[in-house]
Amino acid sequence: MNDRHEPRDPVEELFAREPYLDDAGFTDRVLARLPARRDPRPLVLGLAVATAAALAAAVLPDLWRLLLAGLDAAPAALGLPPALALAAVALAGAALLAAGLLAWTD
Amino acid sequence: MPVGDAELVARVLAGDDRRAFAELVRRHQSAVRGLLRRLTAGDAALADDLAQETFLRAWRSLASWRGEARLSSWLYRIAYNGWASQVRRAPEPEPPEPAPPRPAADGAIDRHDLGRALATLREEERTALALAYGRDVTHEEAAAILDWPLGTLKTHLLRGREKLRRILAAGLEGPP
Repeated sequence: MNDRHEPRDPVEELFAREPYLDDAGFTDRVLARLPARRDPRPLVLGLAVATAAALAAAVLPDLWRLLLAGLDAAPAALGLPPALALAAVALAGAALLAAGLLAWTD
Repeated sequence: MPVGDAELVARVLAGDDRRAFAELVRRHQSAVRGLLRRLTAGDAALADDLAQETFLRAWRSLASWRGEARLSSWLYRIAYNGWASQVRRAPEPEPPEPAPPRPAADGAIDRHDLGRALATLREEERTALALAYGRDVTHEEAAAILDWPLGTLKTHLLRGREKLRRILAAGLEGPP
């Protein structure tokens, strides 16, 4: 298959004596320079957010009415002004979202 | 039974499988590094840098390997192109005057001498020898890797081999 072979060719013998190069260090150095792994989490997170948004859009009118009713009733029950109750709900939601994101990316 | 190159490539492409890629590097590093050492006339540090670049480029463009050629041939082409780019960026100095290799005590000539002898050849002659004397590379494959006509490869190979023979003969028969 290869027409280059001439028995006892000194040049060929010289090349044939080249050492077999195989060291783990070389492989490790190549692997260390590879780009970072493809991270599937942003894709999963995006899908989850999109699904949640779709569900929320479907039930939002009802949720909104419930929330407004709650905001009307709760401050009176707790003796808080409505604005403060709204801020408390928003803060709690933001805290939950942040905690979820931190747990996800950890 | 060892897993074939095509299967390992498929694993890398399907699942970012770095173990599979590490196995490919382990398998082919000797041939690629050896080729680059011959092309760089024995400059082991430069050859290994270029070999690392070769595997990184292979990683980035692994999807373009269709399997028509052997993976080793595809890697040789990347390695050769990387070396050729390096030479274009920083042209090699003029070849030194042929310095006959010093015969070792047992009459053998070591690989440093081979590197020095290769450095005296013209670039085309060294390239032809570097590929044609690689492990398991046919002349047809070497010509395809270099994008040279087969006749051109054989001409440079013949000239380079004759020059090396003369250098070797002078080294072995010269004064101690």
